[in-house]
Order: sequence, then C-alpha cells, then structure tokens
Amino acid sequence: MRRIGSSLAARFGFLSLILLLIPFGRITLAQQDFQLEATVSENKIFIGEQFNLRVEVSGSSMRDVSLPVVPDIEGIGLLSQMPSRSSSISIVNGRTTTSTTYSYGLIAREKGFFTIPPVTIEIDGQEYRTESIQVEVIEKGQLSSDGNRQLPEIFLEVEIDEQNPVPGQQIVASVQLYFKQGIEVTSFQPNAGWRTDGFWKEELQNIRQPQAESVILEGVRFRTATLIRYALFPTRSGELTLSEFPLNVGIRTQSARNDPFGSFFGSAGSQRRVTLESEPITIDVRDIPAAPNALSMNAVGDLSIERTLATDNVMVGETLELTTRVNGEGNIPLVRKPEYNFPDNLELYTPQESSNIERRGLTISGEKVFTELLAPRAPGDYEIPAERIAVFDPGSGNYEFVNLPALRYTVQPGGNVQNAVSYSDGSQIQPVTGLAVWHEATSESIFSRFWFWLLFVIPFVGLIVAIRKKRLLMKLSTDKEFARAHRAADLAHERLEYARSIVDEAAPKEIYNILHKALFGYLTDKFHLPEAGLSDQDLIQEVRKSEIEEAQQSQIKKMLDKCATISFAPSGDRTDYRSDIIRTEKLISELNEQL
Amino acid sequence: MKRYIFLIAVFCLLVPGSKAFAQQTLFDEANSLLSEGNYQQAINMFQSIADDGHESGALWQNLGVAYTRLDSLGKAKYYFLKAEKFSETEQQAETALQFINNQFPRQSAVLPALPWIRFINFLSENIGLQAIAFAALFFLYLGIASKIGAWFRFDFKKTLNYVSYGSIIFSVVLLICSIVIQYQQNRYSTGVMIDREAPVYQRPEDNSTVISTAYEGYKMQVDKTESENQQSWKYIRLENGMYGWIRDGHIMTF
Repeated sequence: MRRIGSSLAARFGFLSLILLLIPFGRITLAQQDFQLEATVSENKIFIGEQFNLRVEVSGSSMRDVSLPVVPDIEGIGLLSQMPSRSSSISIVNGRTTTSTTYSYGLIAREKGFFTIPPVTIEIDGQEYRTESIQVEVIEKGQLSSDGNRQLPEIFLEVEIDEQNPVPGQQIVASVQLYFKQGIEVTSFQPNAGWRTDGFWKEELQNIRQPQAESVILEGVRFRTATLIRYALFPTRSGELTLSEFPLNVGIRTQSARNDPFGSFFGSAGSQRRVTLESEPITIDVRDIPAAPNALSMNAVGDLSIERTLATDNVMVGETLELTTRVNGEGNIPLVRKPEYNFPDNLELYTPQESSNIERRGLTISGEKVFTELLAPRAPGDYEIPAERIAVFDPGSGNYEFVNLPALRYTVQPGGNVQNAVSYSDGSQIQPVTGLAVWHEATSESIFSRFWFWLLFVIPFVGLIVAIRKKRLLMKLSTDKEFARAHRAADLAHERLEYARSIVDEAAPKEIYNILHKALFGYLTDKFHLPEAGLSDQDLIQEVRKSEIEEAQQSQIKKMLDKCATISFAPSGDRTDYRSDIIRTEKLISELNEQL
Repeated sequence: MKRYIFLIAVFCLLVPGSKAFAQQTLFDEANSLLSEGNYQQAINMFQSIADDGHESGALWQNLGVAYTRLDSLGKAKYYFLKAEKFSETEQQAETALQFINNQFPRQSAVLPALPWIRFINFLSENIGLQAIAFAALFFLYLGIASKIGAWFRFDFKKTLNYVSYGSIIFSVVLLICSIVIQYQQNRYSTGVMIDREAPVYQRPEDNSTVISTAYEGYKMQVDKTESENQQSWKYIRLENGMYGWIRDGHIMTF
C-alpha cells in the first residue's frame, strides 16, 4: 500500500511514460546532489484512522536542511507539527550518502478525495517542494468495488444511550474500541481535545479493566471493548455536537503464521502506537416543558428535596440557618438554589452550597446541600411560605412535584448592638406628616396632546397668511393694472355710497351720473381700459368679449343705457333711484365674483 | 339663574376637595400605623392611595421610611428615589438616600455618564419636559411674529430679523431637546434592585453566561424597548456600564 507522491501522475498518459524513466519513481533534482521524496503510508484511509506522511531527503553533499513545512490539508488533521526524524548513512563504492526521513502523523476527518499539497523544505538556503499526493478517505462500512463493506482494522466509536434527551437529563457516552482478530491492544490513553460544548461532563468510574467481547461487523469478526464511560448532561436545548474523541492506542500485530522470518527472528509481531478519532455525534436536545405553578431548581431525574430550619426561635441579630437538601439520581451538579419568597425583614447572606457526587455505576447520584443564613431584623412571628418544587422526570416526560411545607419562626427582641446602631443612625429618616401635596399620576406626554400640536401649527398658519399679504402688497405697489383691478370694487362701492347719500337732495341727473361712474369705472378698472375717451358702446363690446354671463351683460347694458338717457329725460321717483343703486350694487357684487 | 350657577360652582369646588380629603385621611391613618410600628399595614395603606392614582412626595417618602423600618432597603431606596423627584420632599429624600446607600454591604462602581447624556438628564430633572416644550413654543411664536413684523415694519427690519432668527434657532434647539428627553423617557426607566442578589445574564435565558451580579440597592437603567419582547426579563445597564438581562422580579422600576 506504499504510495509515493509521483505515483498519481504515473496513472495518467504521457506523464506515466516520463515517470517510468525515473528510477524508483523518485523526484530527482538532476542539478543537485540530493533527492527529495514525499510518501504516504496509506492512500485509502477510513475516517478517524491515522496514517503517516514521510518526507525523505537523501544526498551526499547536504550541509543545512530545514524542517519540512506541511501546509494545511483539507479534510485531514495534522497530529503534531513536530515530525519524528530518522537518519541513516550508507557508503557504496566509497561514496557516502546521508538520508533523513521526517514522519508526520495525519488523521482523516472527512470523507472524499483529498490532495496533500507539496511539502516545502529548504536545503542549503534553497527552497524545494515535493509533488502533491492524492488520498481517498472512506467511511466505515462503505461498499468496496467487490461489493463488500469495508471496515478498518481498528477504529473507535462513541456510543450514546439517548438520542433525544431534554436539558438536564443524563446520557451515557461510551467510548468503544473495535479491532480485528490478530490485533492486541496493549494500552490506551485519551488525548485532550474532546469538545462537549453544551454539556456538563462527568467521567463514570465503573470500568477498571476493559473486557473485550467478540462481535461480527459486516461479516467480519471484531473484538470490542468499552474503554471509558461519561455521564453527559445537556445544559440547553437544540442541536449539540460531541466532537471527535481522540485516543492514543498501543497495539501489537501478530505476525502471519506463514511468515518464514517471524519465528526465526523471534518476533511475536510489530508493536506501534496509533492515534484514533471517533466520528462527531450530533444530539438533538428537546425543549423541556415549562413547570406550571411551581418553583424551578433545574432538577431533572429521580430526586427528593427537603427543607429545614436549624431553629425556629431566634433573637434579633442572630442568624437562622435554612438548609435545602437535594438527593437522588439525576443532574445533581446542575441543580440550582431555589429562590424562596422570604418575609421582608430578613437579611440574607451569601448562601453556601456543597455537593457529594457518586460516579459509580451508570448514573450520577449524590446529594447537594444549599445553606442560607438569614438574619431577622425585627421581632415577631414569621413564616417562610410553603413552596412547590418541580422536578422533571425524563422517564415519564412529566414533572413530579415536591411540596415543601411552610416554616415558621419567632424572632425575639434582642439587644443586638449592630441593629441598635443601625436604627439610631436611621432615626434622622422621619416620615412626613400633615397635609401632603397631591398630584394625579399621569403618564400622558405633552407630545400626545392635541392642543400642543394645535399651538405648534398656529404660527405657521399665521406665517402663510402674512406671506400672502406681503406678496399682495408688493404686487399692488409695483403692478398698476393689478392695483386698479384690485381696488375696482372698493372704488365702485365708495361711489355707490356717495350716490346713496345724495339720493334725497340731488338731481336725478347727478345721481345717475355717479351710478354710471361707479359701474363704468369698475368695468374699465377690471378690463384695464382707460376711463377717459371710452364710450359706453366700446365698453359693452369689451364686456361681450369677456367671460361675463349673458344675464349680467344685459343688465350692464341696461343700466348704462338708463344712466345715459336719464340725463336727458329724468323720470321716476326717489324710490326708483334707491332701487337702481341697490341693483347696481348687486350687479357689481355678481361681477366681482366672475372677474 | 345666578343661584344655580353658584350651586354648580360650589359643587365643582367641593367634589375634588372631598376626594383630596379622602386620600389625606388615608395618608394620616397610614402615618399613625407607621408611628405605632405597624409597618406592613402602613405600607398597605400607602400603597392603596397610590393604586387609586394619587401620588405625592410625602407618600413616596413615607413608603420609603416604612420599608427602611422593615429593613427592605432596596424597596426603601426605590421609594426615596421617587420622593426625590418632588420638590417638597427632595431634601428629605436625599438625606434618606444618603443613609440607605451607606447601609448596603455592596456598592456598585459608577461609570460617569457621557456629557450629552448628563446635559439631557440635567434638563429633564431641573427644567422638565413640559417647561422645555412650552419654551420651544414661546420662542417659535416670538420668532415668527418677529419675522412677520420685519416684513411690514421696515423701520425695525434689521432688529426684528435678528430677533426672529435667534428665536427660531433657539426654539428648534429646545424642541430637539424636548424630543430627545421624551425619547429617553419612553425608552428608558430607572430600576432598583430589591432582592439581595441576582445574576445578570448575557442573554435572556437562565442557562446563559452570567456577566455580572446585581446586589440589593443597585440602581440601573432599564431599556423598555429592548425588554418589550422578552416576558419576565429586563434588559438593563448597570451603573458600572455593563449591559445584560435580569429577571424582572428582582427589580422595581419607575
């Protein structure tokens, strides 16, 4: 199974021809007086199996050789950055050749084809690289080309007894070693680095000398032994992962019976150390249901709880000792102190907790004791209320409830000096007596009140009005025609008012002259026409061109005609004059809406 | 008619007066219980006044005194801090707080607040949100009136323009301050630790990493917005600047 770095290339076409020309498949650096070669002990490895990468440098004139630099390899772990090193010297025909081999332990972690990149080494200040090597990592039990399931000669598994525990429930993880007949396990040593994030871990002490049993796996007889057992307690729900369990194993391989040299040299087989890793395990930890109407201590298992007071009669300033004792089988290490509802006038000191955990057998059992020191501050009869504690039973999947009865105690007045000092210092804190200033509790914000925003908007409305006014004044002062049109109605009303004031004493001619001026002036101002030199006919023609409605047009004509004719043939009485003034006033108002 | 108006006026004056009289009577009775040493009964009576929607500095001060007598110093501190907000009991509450704070066996390190937070707190505590909002309105009116005046009174145009711009800028600053104060009040409240000690967690879970421990009397800032979605947990900032989650049963907030 020995493979060298160049052998992969030898599989393919033209390159294989070139490689055939290279003696022994070595990478020869023709210009140099040395040879560099990288090889792997196996190129088909099971997940969790160890194999070796060897880098050999041989030559006759090497002076300074650095340590090879092995780059990170995808899917494969490097067991140690420091390689094991062996050297040899040979003299052939007077030529001395030095050979140094660096051996790195690698472990396969993922399934698939992986490439070990070129290893870099510095020889006499010059950097050289080996060729890359391809290896295949296969799963245990994977089918081979002949249809048989393949298993390595020795492998490790971590087996758990519960796949879907709840937080706090104990599960047992057994480290199980499998090895084929003919392999003898001489020693084992767990390595550091087994990550059990999300679990509380306790090693069980029930295995003194592992006993191997025979099992048939995929039609092949294996021997198996449980090496170590751990009790694991999940501390949270969700998917939790137990990482690869690393183990160093010393093995002795028995030599084949037909090996003619085995017995001759007195060898009972080769002995070596290998590093194995189990595959990681994912455990789906279920949510624990909430405990209804009960105090939680995070207790899971078959646990009993009791609560006692050391004494029920103390003096002020003395301490009461409240002990809560939890014992049985379950998550003793994870049980929390219960948060009791104590009476108000108690001073609580930092509680103490102690535990005695038994790790024999397959379950963790023992006792955990919480001791709380309570110092009453005032005399009287008091009661620590009864409590109902929830303990989750993973067997039934339900809560069991432990009822702790109420504890009563009496506090006698005492001459405790510290207490007396405390009250004397606090005597300056006196209650307020007499008439208090009362307020209605309100949480309504000023920004949520309507009137605030109304007050906020008002100045902006005023600002808009002022801007409009300013623009109007500006236009009136700069645009004469606009100013005439703008003041037309006011001027007409002034004239009509004057006509109304003289209606009782003036002659009809004068009154109708003013009425004519009011209407004629209003229309010329609106149409931006000159007042002088314009006849009534011209004005009526302008009116017809405008958007004034027919009814108003005829009224204008009628009124202007009446004003013109009345000067020559006065008729009617004062009432008619007044009604004409009102009619004209109304007409101007109607026109004002249209123009 | 005049007689009816007089009767309605008398009724309107007497009804609120009688209510005030009722809470004052209860308050006096609770004070008597307090002086007789019936602290728990006094607390219950003071609490019933507060539950009816009335509050006063004297009420909170006396609740603090009652809890001090019962040695529930965390609760006492909570009520003294509330009493401190009222001008009529501010001085007494400060004295009481000084005494209470010396009684706690553990004192928290206090990280100084950032300058702008100190400024906002100063405005909030010494002037008040309402006063600042009204001042903002006043200067807004003054600013806009001055601007309108500048448009129509050419003889004072320059002066009025100065007054206008100054007032409007000041009004905007005050309005921003009042909005920030309102935001702070809506988002944060003050909490006081009333239990002896409680863990402060990194996340709102009992299994989460404990990042600190809060002890009785520790004052903290409670982030109401952050805590909204977590039932029975509060997201807090301790005075030492650490943030974390605490079970809401351990603290009282206002």
